[in-house]
Amino acid sequence: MAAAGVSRSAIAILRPARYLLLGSSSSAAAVAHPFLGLRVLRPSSGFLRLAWVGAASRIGAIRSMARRAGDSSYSPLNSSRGGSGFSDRPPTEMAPLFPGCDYEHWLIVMDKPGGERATKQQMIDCYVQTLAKVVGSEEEAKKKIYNVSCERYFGFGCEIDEETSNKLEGLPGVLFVLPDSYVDAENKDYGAELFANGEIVQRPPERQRRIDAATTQRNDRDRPRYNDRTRYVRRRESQR
Amino acid sequence: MPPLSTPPHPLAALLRSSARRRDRTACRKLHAHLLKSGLHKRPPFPSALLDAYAKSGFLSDARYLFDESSHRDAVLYSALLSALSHSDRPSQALFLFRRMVSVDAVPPDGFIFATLVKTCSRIGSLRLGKQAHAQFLLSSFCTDDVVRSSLVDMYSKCCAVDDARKVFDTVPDKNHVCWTAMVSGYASNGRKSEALELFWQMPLRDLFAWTALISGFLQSGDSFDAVKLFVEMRRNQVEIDDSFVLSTVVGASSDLAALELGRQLHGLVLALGYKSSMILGNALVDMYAKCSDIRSARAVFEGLVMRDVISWTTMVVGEAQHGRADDAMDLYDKMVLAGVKPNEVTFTGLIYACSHAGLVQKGRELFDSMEQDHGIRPSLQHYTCLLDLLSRSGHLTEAENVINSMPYVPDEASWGALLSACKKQGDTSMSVRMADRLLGLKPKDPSTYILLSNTYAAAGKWDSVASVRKLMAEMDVKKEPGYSWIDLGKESCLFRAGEVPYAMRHEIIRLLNELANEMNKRGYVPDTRSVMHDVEENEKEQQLFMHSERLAVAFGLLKSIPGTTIRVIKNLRICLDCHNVLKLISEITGREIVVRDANRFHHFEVGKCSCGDFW
Repeated sequence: MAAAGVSRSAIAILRPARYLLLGSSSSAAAVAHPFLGLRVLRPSSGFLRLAWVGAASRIGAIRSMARRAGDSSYSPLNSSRGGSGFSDRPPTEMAPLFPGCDYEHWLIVMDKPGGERATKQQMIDCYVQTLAKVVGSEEEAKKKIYNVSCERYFGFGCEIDEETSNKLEGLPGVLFVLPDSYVDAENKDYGAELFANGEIVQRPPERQRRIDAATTQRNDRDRPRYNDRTRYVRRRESQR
Repeated sequence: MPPLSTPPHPLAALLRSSARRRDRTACRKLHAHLLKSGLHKRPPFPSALLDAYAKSGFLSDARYLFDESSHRDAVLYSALLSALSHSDRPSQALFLFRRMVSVDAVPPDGFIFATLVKTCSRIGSLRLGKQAHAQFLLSSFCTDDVVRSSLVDMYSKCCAVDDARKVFDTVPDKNHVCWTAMVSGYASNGRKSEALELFWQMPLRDLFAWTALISGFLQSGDSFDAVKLFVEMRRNQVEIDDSFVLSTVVGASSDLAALELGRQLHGLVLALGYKSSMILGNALVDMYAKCSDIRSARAVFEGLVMRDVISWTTMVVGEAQHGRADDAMDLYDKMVLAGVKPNEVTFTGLIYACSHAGLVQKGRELFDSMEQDHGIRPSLQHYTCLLDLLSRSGHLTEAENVINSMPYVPDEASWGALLSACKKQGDTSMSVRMADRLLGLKPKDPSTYILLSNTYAAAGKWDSVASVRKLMAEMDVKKEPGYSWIDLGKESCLFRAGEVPYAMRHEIIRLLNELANEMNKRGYVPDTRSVMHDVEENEKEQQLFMHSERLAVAFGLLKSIPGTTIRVIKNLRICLDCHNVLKLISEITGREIVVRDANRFHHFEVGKCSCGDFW
């Protein structure tokens, strides 16, 4: 990656959404202010408490009495950068990004399903068994799974509610539990290999063509580099 | 054979260079030239022009160009998306993205995926980030390592560090950005040992990596280790090309209230040539203010070449906390004159200043002007400051009206403010009433319970005291013991109330006795109202004698260089008797004593205190 790209993205990583003194825009200032813990009120509780506590912690022997991680007025852990700062966001901001994302269809990515060098069938069995753990039986699991993938990524799509999907997180072999969305919006198709009643089903060729077009892996070397001068030219050609 | 690329048009190169330089005038000129020569609709110019405008900050022009464009492809979209993602309102990028997918049906490419994920990081949305992750895996770009790095960062910022690690592990050739993102993720989420472990595995540990680690530690509250790492970094002879790490570690010393460390860092800042950095300047002002050295804070502030709202606000709040209300007001006037818009924190500082200086009318005016003149809606914190202001000055009925009519549910802090003022005024019936309401809220803070128990004790309601004590025991709430700490550069010492470290015992007690004699000559009488226990008079006096801040000051008098300021930090509010004693001591010894207590700073000099006896 070109140097400019590296430093820019590195800086994006280093500058958290909220930090003590960065950012000169006024919105950042309101949040990212040094005097975060300005709780001005009562005699023996203090906005200076956390800083004060930190000072005492310098003395090695007395560190234990000083640490008050839970002091919510200051703790950076309570900043709005976490997933929790949504109460004041307008609902439209949180609308799904992609069509077909309804939080009823879930893409479950697994880690080495069926073990090393498993066959395709073994992988599929693993998917079914995993889902069966949260829906009750392998029968049910087979009904709920609507697609599988054993090449590009190892995982399956299943139709369950959000609560059930949460139960999948943390199960052995489950890497990610992600909200699924269409690969082909016109035909409302979630991609991968269609799966119905425990069997892989072929798509009609026209629809398969559309899916392939949308998902063919582009090799890194052919892809234009981000600061490539010839980028615009190549793109123009790929539009034809 | 790949198609031969035609050489780029020189105008496109010029546009790109003016975008990099953020040169608005150049963009305009080039735009004019393109229009005249009829090239403005021909690729690559639409996207190059849009990109140039976007990067130069002309977002509205960029948008206009975008909307006017007849052919909106991925290139055009990515220029605008990227610009919006970096703007003040990154969620605009999301709106545009949805339009791209649903209206124009343009499939996102690797660059757009990366921008999308970064936007999710910036707004902290794990939910949307996961949606992007899913589509990314299904798309043609699923092996793009840049997107994967962005995902690592996104999961880290949304506090899902383990998911970040899972993505990190899928990257075959981890580049520097990826490593740094993961280390930063661990560090800022408090996973110190994993952060360190990964850090030492990195193939290259440059300034960025160190900075990520140090600032992550600071963010998760571990300032002490952040400083240690900085020292380690210096030992590893990493050149400081960028000032960010310095502002981080200055922030750490603010957090630790470590003045000597802060001074050393200030020296380093000057030596490395970062004197004119506004961000560092702000950090230093804050550090000096928090470390009880308001004069240095002011000196740094005055020396700032460029000041933004954070600079002004930090200084205003610092002056407020050091009891210099007039200076705070004065600064505010200058700030407005300089055309800098105050924000919520500025007002919190100002009203706080008024409340500790007793400037009731001014405080009320400021509170009103907040919404009327500056369009800032008062938050609960502002109301609490107002309550503090009114109640400290004795306008108890007005305060009670405010608390009953404000648009927020009064919390523990608000009632506490009112109650402590009532108690101080000595209005026992009202304070008992307040105490009952506060008790009904089932408070969580141990000091609230102390306040309640002291209130009931002062009113003589010993059975209520007993029930409060019982509640405290049940909730496992412990009274925080008083302690004071003094830092003399090479030495520092912590004093607990009633205990004297063995080494200096005799000298300290002798000094305090000598001072007590001097004080008695000047008419001092111990004020035992400050002791809230139901014990004998002379035992109360004894307890007062051994309050930790006095021990610390005595230690300071014995050990510090004559003539220097003695700085003590105390965890609780300084009591009335100690306040009087320290005023006298400052007069007797001719030394300046600065005490930082739980709420504010007290500068004792020639028998007076900066707080005006109003704390």
